[in-house]
Amino acid sequence: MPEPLLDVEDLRTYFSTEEGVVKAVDGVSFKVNAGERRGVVGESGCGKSVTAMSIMRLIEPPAGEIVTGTITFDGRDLLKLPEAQMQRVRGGEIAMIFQDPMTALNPVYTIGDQLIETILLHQDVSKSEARDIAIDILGDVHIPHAKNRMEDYPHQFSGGMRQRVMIAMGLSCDPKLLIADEPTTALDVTTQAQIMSLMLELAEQRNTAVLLITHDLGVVAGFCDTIQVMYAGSIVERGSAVEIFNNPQHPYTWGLLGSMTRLDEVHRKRLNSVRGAPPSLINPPKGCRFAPRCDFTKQICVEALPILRQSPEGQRVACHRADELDLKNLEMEPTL
Amino acid sequence: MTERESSDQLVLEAAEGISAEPITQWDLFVTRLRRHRLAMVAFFFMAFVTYVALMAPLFTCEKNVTFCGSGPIQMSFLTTLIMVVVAVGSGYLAYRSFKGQLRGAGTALAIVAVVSVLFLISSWGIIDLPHINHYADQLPDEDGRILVNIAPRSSLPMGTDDIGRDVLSRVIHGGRASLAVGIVVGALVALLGTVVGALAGYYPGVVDQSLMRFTDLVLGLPLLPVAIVVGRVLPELRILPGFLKQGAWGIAVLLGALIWGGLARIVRAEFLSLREKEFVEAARAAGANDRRIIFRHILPNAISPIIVQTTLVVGTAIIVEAALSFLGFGVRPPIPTWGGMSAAGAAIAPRGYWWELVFSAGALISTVLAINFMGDGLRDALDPTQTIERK
Repeated sequence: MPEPLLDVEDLRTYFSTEEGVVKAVDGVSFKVNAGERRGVVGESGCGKSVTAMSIMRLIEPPAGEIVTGTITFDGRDLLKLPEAQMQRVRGGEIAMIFQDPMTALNPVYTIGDQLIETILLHQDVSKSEARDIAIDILGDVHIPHAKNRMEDYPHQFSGGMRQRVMIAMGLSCDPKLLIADEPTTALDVTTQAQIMSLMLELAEQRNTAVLLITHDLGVVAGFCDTIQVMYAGSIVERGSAVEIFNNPQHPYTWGLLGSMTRLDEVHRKRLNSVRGAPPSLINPPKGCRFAPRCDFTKQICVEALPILRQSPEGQRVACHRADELDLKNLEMEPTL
Repeated sequence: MTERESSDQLVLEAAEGISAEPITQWDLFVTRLRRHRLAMVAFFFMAFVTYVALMAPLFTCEKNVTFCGSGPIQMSFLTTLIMVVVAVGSGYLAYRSFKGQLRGAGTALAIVAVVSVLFLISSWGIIDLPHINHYADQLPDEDGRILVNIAPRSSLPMGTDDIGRDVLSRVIHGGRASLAVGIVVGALVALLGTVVGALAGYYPGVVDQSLMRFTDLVLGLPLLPVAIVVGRVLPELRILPGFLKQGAWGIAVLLGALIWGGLARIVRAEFLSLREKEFVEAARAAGANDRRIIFRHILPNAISPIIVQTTLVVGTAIIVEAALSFLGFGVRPPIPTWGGMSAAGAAIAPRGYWWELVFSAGALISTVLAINFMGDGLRDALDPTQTIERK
C-alpha cells in the first residue's frame, strides 16, 4: 500500500473562550491518498473547517491551539515544520479555497496582481512568465478573455467568476492537495454545479487530491470518492461515497441523508430533520455525543464513547449499535 | 436622494464619454471629490499657497529703491520662466488626473511627493542660507529713512511692519515655515501612527497592549506645555544636528513625535477588523508571510482613514506651530512665521497698525480652513458608504 499523501493522527484542536475550553476537533484521524477526492460532511460547528485550518496551521494562538496530534503530509510532520517552511507549503503544496469568493479576494488589487503574487511566492519564475502562467490558468478555469480580465478588480466579477479565480489561484502552483472549504455555499445552484464540475475536471486532469468540506450532501455525492461524516468534533462514519449513500451505518448519517431533498425520489411527506441541536463542545456528554439526539439510544450509548471501527459492510463507523441496526431498510419517522 | 440613486448617478457620471472603459475606484473617487465644491476650492487654494511658498526664494526685491521700484516684488526673466513652467506642468498633470486620464492614486501621490521634495529642498535653503533672507530687509525711501508702519497701498499691498519690512514678502515666506511644519508633521505622523497602529492591530496580546499603552501615555501629555519645554531645551542639546535646533525643523519633528497617537488608534481599529477578513486568511493560506499581509494586503485597504486623518493632522500641526511662535517658543526671529507675525502685529494693532496682524492671521486661518475642507472632501470621497452629501 502506498504512503498516504496526508495522514492526520489523533488531531485535537481546542479554543479557549471565556466560558471554557471548546474542543472543536477532538481526536480526529484520517488519511488521504494522492489524487483522492475526500468529502468532509457535517453540520455547522462540527469541526470541519477547524480540521482544515489545523492542516494549514492557520489556527491562531492564543485563541486556538492544536493540543495533540500529528499531521504528516508528503512525509513531513506539518506541525513541527518551522513557520518559514510552512509558508512554502501553504499555497505551494496545499492550497485552500474559501467559502465566500466575495470576500476572499483583496478588493484593492486586480485579480492579475493577486494571481501573479501567489505564483511568484512559490515558483522561481520571472514576472512576465508568472503573468503567462496566470493567463493560462485563468483560461483553464474557463474565464473568457483571460488576458483582458487580468486587469480587472474583484468587484468586476460575479460570484461564480470569483470562485473560478480562487480556484485558479489555488491550482496555479500545482498543489498536491486542495482544501476546498464550502466552495459553493455562497453560490446559487446553477453556478454550484458549474464550479463543481470545473473542480472535478481540473482535479482529475492534474491528479490533485481534494479535501472538500461541505454540509451539502448533494455536492459531495457527485464529486467525492470517499466521505467522512463529522459530528461534534470527531468522525462518526467514514467510507466510500457509495457505501455512505447506499448503506449508512451511523444514525447521524442516516438522519442527514433523510433530511436531504432528492430528485430521484418522490416526496409526499415533510422532509425529516435530526432533532435538537449539537451539544456544547465545552463539556461534551460522556458517552456517544450523538446520544441525546439519537432515536436508538440505549444505556451503553450514554455511558461509553464509541470508537471508530470497521463495520461488516466495509466502512468505518463510531456507533455501539451499528451492527444491530438495519438503517437502510428503516422508514424514517417524520418529525413535526 | 437615496444612496442607491446617488451612487448610480455617480457611476453614470463617471461613465460619461468613456462608455466602453471600465469605471475604476479612482474614477469614482475623483467624481465624488469634484462634487464637493468647498473641497475643490480648498484644493486649488492650497495649490496656490503651496506654489507661492515654494517659489518664495525666487521673488527678488531690489534694494535702495523706494518701495522696491514699482512694487515690492520683481522677478527676473529666468524666475518668471521657471514659475510658468512649473505652474503649467503641474496644472496639466492635475487636469489630466482629474479627467481620469491618469490612472491610480499613484499618480497623485507622485505629484504630491515631487512637490513636497521640491518644497523641502527649498525650505532647507531658507534655514541654512541666511543670505537670502530678504524678507528681513528694511525698506528705505529715497532719503534713506526706514519706512515703518506704512499702511497698505497699491505699491505695498500689505504695508510694512514696525521696523519697516514688507508684510507681503513676510506673509509669503511665513507660509514656508507653516507648510514645512505641516508636511513634516504629516509625514512623521503618517509613518509613526501607521506603523504603531498596524503592529498593534495585527499582533494581539503583548505587542498590542504595550504599544497602545505607550500611545495612551503620549496622548496624555499636554501638547503645548511639553512642546514649549522641549522646544526650549532642544537648542541646548549638543548632540542634535544643527538643522533641528533652529527654524521649523525642530518644531516639526517635536510636534510629529507628540501627535501621532490619534492616527495609531484609527489604524489599529482598521487592522483589527481587516485582519479577520477572509482575503487575509486566503493570503495566509496562499503562503504569504506577516510582513506581506500587513503591508500588501491590509494596509492598502486601510489607506482611506490614514489619508483623511493625516490631512487633518497637518491642519492641527500648523495651528500648534503658530501658537508656539505666537508665544515666542517657536521658530526664532527674524525668520517670519504666521504665528510670530501675528504676535508682533497684535502688539502694534492697538495703535491702529492693524495690517500685519490681519494679513498674517488671515493667511493662517484660511490655510488651516482649506486643509480641513480638503480633509472633509477626501473623507466624503473615500468613504462610499457615507450618504450625507455636501455641496
